[in-house]
Amino acid sequence: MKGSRGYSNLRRLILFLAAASAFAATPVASIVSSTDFQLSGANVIAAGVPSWPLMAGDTVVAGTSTARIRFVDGTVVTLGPKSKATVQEKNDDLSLRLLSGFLTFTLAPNSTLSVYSGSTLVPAQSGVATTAQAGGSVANKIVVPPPPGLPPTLSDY
Amino acid sequence: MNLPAAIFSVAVAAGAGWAITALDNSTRPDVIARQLSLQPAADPARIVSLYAEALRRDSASPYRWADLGDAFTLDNQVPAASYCFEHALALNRRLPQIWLRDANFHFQTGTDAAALKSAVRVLQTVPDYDGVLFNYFDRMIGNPSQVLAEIGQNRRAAVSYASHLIATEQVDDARTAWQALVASGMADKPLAASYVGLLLRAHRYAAAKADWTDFAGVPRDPPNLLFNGGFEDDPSGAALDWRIQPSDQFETAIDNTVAHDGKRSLHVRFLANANVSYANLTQLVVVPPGSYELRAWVRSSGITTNECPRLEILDPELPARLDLRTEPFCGSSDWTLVTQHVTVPAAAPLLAIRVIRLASEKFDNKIAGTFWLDSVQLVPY
Repeated sequence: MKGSRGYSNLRRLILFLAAASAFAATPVASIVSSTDFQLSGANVIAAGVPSWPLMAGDTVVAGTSTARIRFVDGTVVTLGPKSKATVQEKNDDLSLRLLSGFLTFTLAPNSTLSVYSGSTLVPAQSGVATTAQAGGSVANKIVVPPPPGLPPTLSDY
Repeated sequence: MNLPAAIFSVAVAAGAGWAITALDNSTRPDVIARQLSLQPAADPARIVSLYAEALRRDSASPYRWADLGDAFTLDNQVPAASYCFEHALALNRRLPQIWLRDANFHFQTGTDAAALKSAVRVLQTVPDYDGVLFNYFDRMIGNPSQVLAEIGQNRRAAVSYASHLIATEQVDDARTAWQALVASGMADKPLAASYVGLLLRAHRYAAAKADWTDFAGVPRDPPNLLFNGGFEDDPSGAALDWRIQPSDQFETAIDNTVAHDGKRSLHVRFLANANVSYANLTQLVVVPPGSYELRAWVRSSGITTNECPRLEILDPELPARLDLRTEPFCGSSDWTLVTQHVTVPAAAPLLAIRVIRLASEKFDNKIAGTFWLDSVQLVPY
């Protein structure tokens, strides 16, 4: 898919830039929210600035609305209102750990992202929306992507 | 119906129809693009085309240019994205949100120096994004000298950045920032208090003493190791100066009307309303091991109960290692010199000099009266 190629290229670019920089941490995702949220303890004013870089080690606390996290491999995570999650990286393996609340995520094809609820790995497969609740249940549903050319639903915008 | 009324009705209906269409957000390309960009495996090229259409409809908006810049970034078209952000800034260089989006673009594409420049423009404009930007600086810039050089003479931003480094306990970076602020004349007493507190918490006693004395403008090895022993200056709040913890059970304050030396002293006024356990006047002092004498002039007026104020020399890290107290000062007395000898072991590089009053176990225990302190010295013995 063309979209996947785009994300793949972007990931390669970011990996290249990461190698070129001896110190700098590299964003592994971007986060979008329509309301203010917290990023590693700092309050983030969302108005007028839709997208913020997210790096390994960051902790996100969603505001009164959901926060959408798009990883560079195309994986999209929707963090529930007031929910809290942290992005971790160990030995080049990226993971997202839900600390409180709930999230829904859909792994991109070939994504290596691991999603945990607390210390429990949430089983998931690419293209299937998976919902996890902190300390609770996991549910999966097949996501049917909208046909090309048609706008997506705006019901949750 | 007459003709004018019919024409008016048709015009109203047409206007309503146009308004419904025009105000329907769901048909706006930027809204569609924003929603689409949140879908898994969304096509970046389609998002670019939608934002391009939004820009075509409103090409004077820097936000639309920034939207397209974000879309190009997502589609890995970095030069095109860079052009869009430049154009957005050319349209309006006063909007912190546009500078912020440009900074985020540069952070995302690894051009950190450019990101820093744009982020600093935000800091120089509004304080709202300090926390999140300083977090990015920690992770992506990592060099406080570079950050402060970019901030330049904007005192608010520089002090806020240094405060962030102190609050997040980045000791070495905080020291770099502190020294830069002192050199540029932007350091102040509240920042000094929090900075010295950080160094002491990190057990960097020598650095704390050196940086504090340099800031306070006193010799590093003065004859009197205590700072502001005569209370001639208002306490700064720093731990290496007198620190007063207020309470509604007593009053601890500089006294401009009574002094043994100079023009001022300090008084503690007990209000006879509680069996006070007092330890609310303290100064920490960094000392090399050796023999010292604490000297102070004290005065009292109408101090009641069997437990009265005393001076105390304490090892704040481990009180069991060192805790010396003078005799209590009860009743009324004119200025009296009090001395206390202390031997500081090598393991106790930090002393706390305090005024204390222990809670009384007697029935009549609500302490009243006033205690004065002046000319406090800690000198080699």
